[in-house]
Amino acid sequence: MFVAKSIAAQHKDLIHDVAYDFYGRRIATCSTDQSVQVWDLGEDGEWHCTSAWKHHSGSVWRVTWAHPEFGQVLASCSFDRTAVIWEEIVGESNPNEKGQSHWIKRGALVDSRTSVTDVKFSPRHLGLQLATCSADGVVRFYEASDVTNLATWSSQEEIQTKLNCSCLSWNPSRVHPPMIAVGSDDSSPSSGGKVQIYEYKENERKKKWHKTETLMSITEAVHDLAFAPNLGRSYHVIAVATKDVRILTLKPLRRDATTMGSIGLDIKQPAQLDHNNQQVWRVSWNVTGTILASSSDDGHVRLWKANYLDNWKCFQELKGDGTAIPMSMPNFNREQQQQQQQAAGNARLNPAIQDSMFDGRSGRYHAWNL
Amino acid sequence: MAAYEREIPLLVIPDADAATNCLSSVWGLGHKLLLHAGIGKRIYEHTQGKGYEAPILQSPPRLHWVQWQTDMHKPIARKLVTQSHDVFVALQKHGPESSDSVRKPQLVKYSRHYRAFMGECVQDLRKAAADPNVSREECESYTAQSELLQTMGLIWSLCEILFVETLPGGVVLQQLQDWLKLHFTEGDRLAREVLQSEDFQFNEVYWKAIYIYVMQGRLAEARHLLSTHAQQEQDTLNTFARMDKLMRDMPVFSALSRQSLAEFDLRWRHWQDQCAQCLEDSAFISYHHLHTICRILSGDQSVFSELSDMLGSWYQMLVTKLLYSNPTVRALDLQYHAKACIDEFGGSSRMSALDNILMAAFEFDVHQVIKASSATMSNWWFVAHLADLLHHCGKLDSHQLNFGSNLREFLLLEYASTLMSHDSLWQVVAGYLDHCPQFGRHYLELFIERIPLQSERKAMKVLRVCEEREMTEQVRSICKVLGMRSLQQGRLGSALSWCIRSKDAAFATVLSDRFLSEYSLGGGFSNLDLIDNLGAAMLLSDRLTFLGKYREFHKLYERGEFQEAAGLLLSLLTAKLAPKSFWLILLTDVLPLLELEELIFRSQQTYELLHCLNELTQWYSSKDYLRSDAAKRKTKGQQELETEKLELLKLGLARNLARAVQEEVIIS
Amino acid sequence: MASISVKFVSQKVSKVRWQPGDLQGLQPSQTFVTGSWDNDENRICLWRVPSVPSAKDYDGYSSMATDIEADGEGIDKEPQLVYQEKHEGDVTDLKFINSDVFLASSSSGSVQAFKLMQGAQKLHSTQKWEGLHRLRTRACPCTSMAVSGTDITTVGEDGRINVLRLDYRHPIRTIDQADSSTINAVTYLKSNQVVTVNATGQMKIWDLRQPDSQPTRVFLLTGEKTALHCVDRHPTQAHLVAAGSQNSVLNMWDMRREKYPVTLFDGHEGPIWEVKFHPTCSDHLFTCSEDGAVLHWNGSGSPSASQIAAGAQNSRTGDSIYPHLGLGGLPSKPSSSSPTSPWLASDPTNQVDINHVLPSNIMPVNSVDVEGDQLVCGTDGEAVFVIKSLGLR
Repeated sequence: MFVAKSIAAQHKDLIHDVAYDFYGRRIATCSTDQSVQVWDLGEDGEWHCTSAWKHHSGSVWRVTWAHPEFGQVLASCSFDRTAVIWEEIVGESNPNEKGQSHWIKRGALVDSRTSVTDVKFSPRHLGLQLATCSADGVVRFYEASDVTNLATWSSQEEIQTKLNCSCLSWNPSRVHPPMIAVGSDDSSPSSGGKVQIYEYKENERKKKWHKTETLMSITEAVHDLAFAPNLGRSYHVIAVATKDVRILTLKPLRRDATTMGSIGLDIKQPAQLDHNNQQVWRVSWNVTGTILASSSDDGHVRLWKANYLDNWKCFQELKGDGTAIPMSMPNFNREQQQQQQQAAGNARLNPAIQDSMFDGRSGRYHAWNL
Repeated sequence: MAAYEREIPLLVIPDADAATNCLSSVWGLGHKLLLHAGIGKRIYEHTQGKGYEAPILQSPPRLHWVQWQTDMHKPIARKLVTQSHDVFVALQKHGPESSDSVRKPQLVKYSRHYRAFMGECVQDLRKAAADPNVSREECESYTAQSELLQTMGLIWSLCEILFVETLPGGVVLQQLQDWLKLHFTEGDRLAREVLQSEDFQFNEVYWKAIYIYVMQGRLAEARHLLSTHAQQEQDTLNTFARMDKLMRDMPVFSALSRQSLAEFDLRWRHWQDQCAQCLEDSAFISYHHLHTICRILSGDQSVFSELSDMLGSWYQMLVTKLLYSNPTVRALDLQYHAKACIDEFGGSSRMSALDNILMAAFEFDVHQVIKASSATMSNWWFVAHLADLLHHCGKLDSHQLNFGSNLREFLLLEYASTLMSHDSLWQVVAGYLDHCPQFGRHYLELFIERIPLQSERKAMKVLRVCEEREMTEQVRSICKVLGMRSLQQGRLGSALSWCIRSKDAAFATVLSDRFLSEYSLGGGFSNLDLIDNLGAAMLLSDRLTFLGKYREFHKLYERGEFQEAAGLLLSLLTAKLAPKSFWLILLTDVLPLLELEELIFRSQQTYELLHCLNELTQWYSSKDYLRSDAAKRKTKGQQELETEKLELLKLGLARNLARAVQEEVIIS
Repeated sequence: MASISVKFVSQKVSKVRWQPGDLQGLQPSQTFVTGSWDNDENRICLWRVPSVPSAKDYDGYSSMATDIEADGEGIDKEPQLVYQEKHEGDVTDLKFINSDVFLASSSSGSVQAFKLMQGAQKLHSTQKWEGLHRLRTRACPCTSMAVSGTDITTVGEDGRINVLRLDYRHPIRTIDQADSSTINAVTYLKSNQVVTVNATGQMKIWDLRQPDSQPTRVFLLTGEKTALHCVDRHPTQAHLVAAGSQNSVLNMWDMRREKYPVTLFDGHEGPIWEVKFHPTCSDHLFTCSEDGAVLHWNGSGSPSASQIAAGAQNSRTGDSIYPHLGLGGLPSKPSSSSPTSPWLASDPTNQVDINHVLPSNIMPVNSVDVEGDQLVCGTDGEAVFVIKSLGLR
């Protein structure tokens, strides 16, 4: 593992969130400095900030991309109690703006009376929907009534979770009814489970969001949670960031084959990933849902993976060293360097020297305990 | 074997703020992470409930991109990646279920292909390392990679002998000899050195070369070297000739010969008795080196320990020892002989990872070979391909994973995942995922949609990958994304062609509306080359049908086929194909037809038109319409024009009705 | 007969072109150019094919030994890289203007001219046209080029046609919105007249002297509207045009006649990326496809191709009198007055033999070029194949 590139963002303060677009060739960043920036990967292999704007009047907590089927659309949420939807406009030829992108505000969701702590677009098979949650415990659902005109967002539903919400995650499964998980950073254990699961299903001939489950096993503050891609499994996998990371499986219990939606969830916890009792702030899955990255208060990012026996293990840690760095990072390959050091001097196949190349303690991550 | 439990590797990110404001990470495609500082307790408490106060940072925050498992991305390794992909795909046609006699020669062939590719890669890496233009770091990295590949080759060929190219009766020594010959070329190197040297000397190097040849059972080469000696020395006692005869006479068992094992055994014992006799007679006592060789030939156990430095490793010793003491040893018994050799080399506590892998192979513990290789190799290429080959040989018992996949699939998925971070290898990735029955398709579905499409050519190729696998949802989505992109760039025609390709009716309606609104704003129709040649694609959505038919009306009108044009226009109105907002335009198109000298609309048709006009007038005053954006946006001038048109129509239709009725009466 | 050599080049190959050899292929070309695509850094490479086996390769054997037999053994004489140069964006097309100058078009919408220097040892960029193809502010791929003398026509995903002239800095003619959809390929029919094929299966003829931006004629596909990816014109019979489609059909139009193709050839199982009539043996045609195949369509064995009169068709009992490769037929010299051509036969399966040029290749083949007795093709499997001694007549 090596640092391939390191650049300075143009924010004036801490970056709260970074989001890759669907293809990994654009990123959006948001910061305490109240601004949002968009960066594009150029043909030259470098990242260029192609747009930066300040609209919110408070720290911007989260930024997220809509599926590209809906065009180039971003949403951001802020301490200023709003969530805003942005769309990129491809202008007519204008030589002055070459290489710059132009983003305009398409909608402002101003229903919250407190800080909007998270915003997430729904999986694309549900159309262009959006869920927000706020510090006063309300989860709100919005939908673009016309996907070609993002100016009108209708409020679909509000749910009162009765806990200050910090994060939410949509279940990406196409074959199950819509589901979200909401987490709360309420720190008092007495207020009960901090993760609630909601399903969108029919009840008394009306489709609504219903609470399916509260995960009573998690009573500490939750700062992030994330559903993994479904991969055709009959159950859902969710990672919850609290004083450790919980990997939970949720298996819908069906009343019968014809009823959509579950009557409940069979919840199991295949893993509890220890973080030395440090608060975990972020969890995220890779594209195939096989590796989980977690960020915790000890400053570490850890990468976790289950082996073929479903044993979860941390296989890599990353940590900032707190030192200032030269402005330009050479394209330095630590991985290579290690190999080089080990290989230095052995010109031919000699088992005795081979040993060092094979040495498990060398710290090269990719060797894996099956 | 000890598990390779190790400390978790740590990568340090050079970031001034990361110590106090924890690092957060975001995933890219494949094995790529983007890291930044800016979460954690400090910032949380700083901002929560208070909002933004003063900047915390002194300098701008930084973004860091981290990557791993990029071994296979380098240009030289890519040759191995693409070549082995082709073999992998071909190999999949030979499942463990097909009959042995058909399958086995094929599997051996594929195994050799894999080895040959590793070999080529080693050559290329060496060539690259020797290039004077490369930097020292690069050179060392090339050398390291070629070392690793050579080690892989060593393990692979042993596995090929033991698991793939298994011979009837399990007599393996001949193959093991070849194995040594292939991978331990020290003897050849020394011999070349000796023969090429200016002052040809019968020194230690010379004898070392001969010893190595003899110990590897390469007696022809050894005799050749010896003969150069014999020519110069005064071999009055025929000692050299005697040694030469002994070496020449050594029987060799070949699985292909018609000789039976018992026959061979008899001959071989007879030959070794002769060697032993020579020793007893002290026939070579005056020539120390020849004496040692004779001790080897007669299988004197002590000589192997003496020469263990030259043997280099326990497995080389194993082969040598067996060659001169038990040449008909069966593959399954190798492990029992191995123990003694390992002890000679310091016992199991001094075993390296490579030793352990080879030992596991001798023990026929396929699972352990793969496990230990995974734990020590720096890439998944080796274990994934080896596991797959062994699976096809039926040697990989289905070590069922608890989520229903098996070890082979697990490894193939890992290998494919390492290729995902590379921009160009997505076709190769698909090739591997195709043969992972449990999760392959799901991985591919998630992966394929995320391949950036910078050109239509690439889009076509990605779409074909999807179509071949009947991934209809992905096809739909990709076409939608491209259509949306065209729409944003103002390329309605191109957007429509994407939408027709994916048969996306809803999107077709949206696009048709765009065309119609362009027209109603006075811009005329664009992209006529496409719209006028829609053919059956027109039926994708009602609105598109309307668009196509409306254009047909225009063409009929232009050609002066007024009757047909009028009939079509009327049917567009009455069949409710046209959106209400477009009715006024359609009715306005009626006006010039009413002005013609020839009567176009019959009375019945005129009634229908009047009925439509009526319906439209009612709609304009309906609540639905008045609340719509269109109504709100209308200027006063537009409204007046609208009313005027409606009046004109009423008048024109009334007049036409009168004319029609009159004519019809006359005719009847 | 044919010998195949393969070179893995560690980049996906989008285009291959022989440097034009001497006329009539008397002196076959030994140099070809490749362009790559879909790589973080794309390249234009210059390659040399080792000529007849040198004495070094054949210690002790006379190099006068019959080359063709030696080739038959499949002796690996892989092409050698002579020179390479970075290229911005995918290389979407390569075209030689003469034996020293060629053009490369890019997915970034530009076209660049290169000169082969020092006896084809080096490349030197002589001219670059930027931003020829764009959508609003963004560059978009130039997809294809055609050359007639020093005039160059370029087409792109923006549906635009540009006419360039060597040594002129700006296009001498631009037709904006020439097409609603992507134009995938272009070729000259005669000077000032080009034919384009587009993503919705239309083929259009343009008279570049006409001031208006309308095609002079439009040809359509029968049946489903599928994209056409490539087009080539018969070297001697200008009314014969072949175009390869997304749905793996090779369409042949007789432009004197109908709007719809006269003949449809099935043989591929994937989109056809390139079609090439042999420049001198026009009864031979080559196609390459996403399905991994390179097909050699051989019409020389048909009665109509050779000097056998059209009327002789009835008297023919079958193809069996002609060897498989059609070598029994006399050298073809198609004349425009010939009433039939193998490419326009009513029953093409009877008239044209199909042969696979690349056995056992599975990765998509993006480009094929043929010159004299040799063929080169490039694949997404990062390989370049050179086939010598095709045995054409």
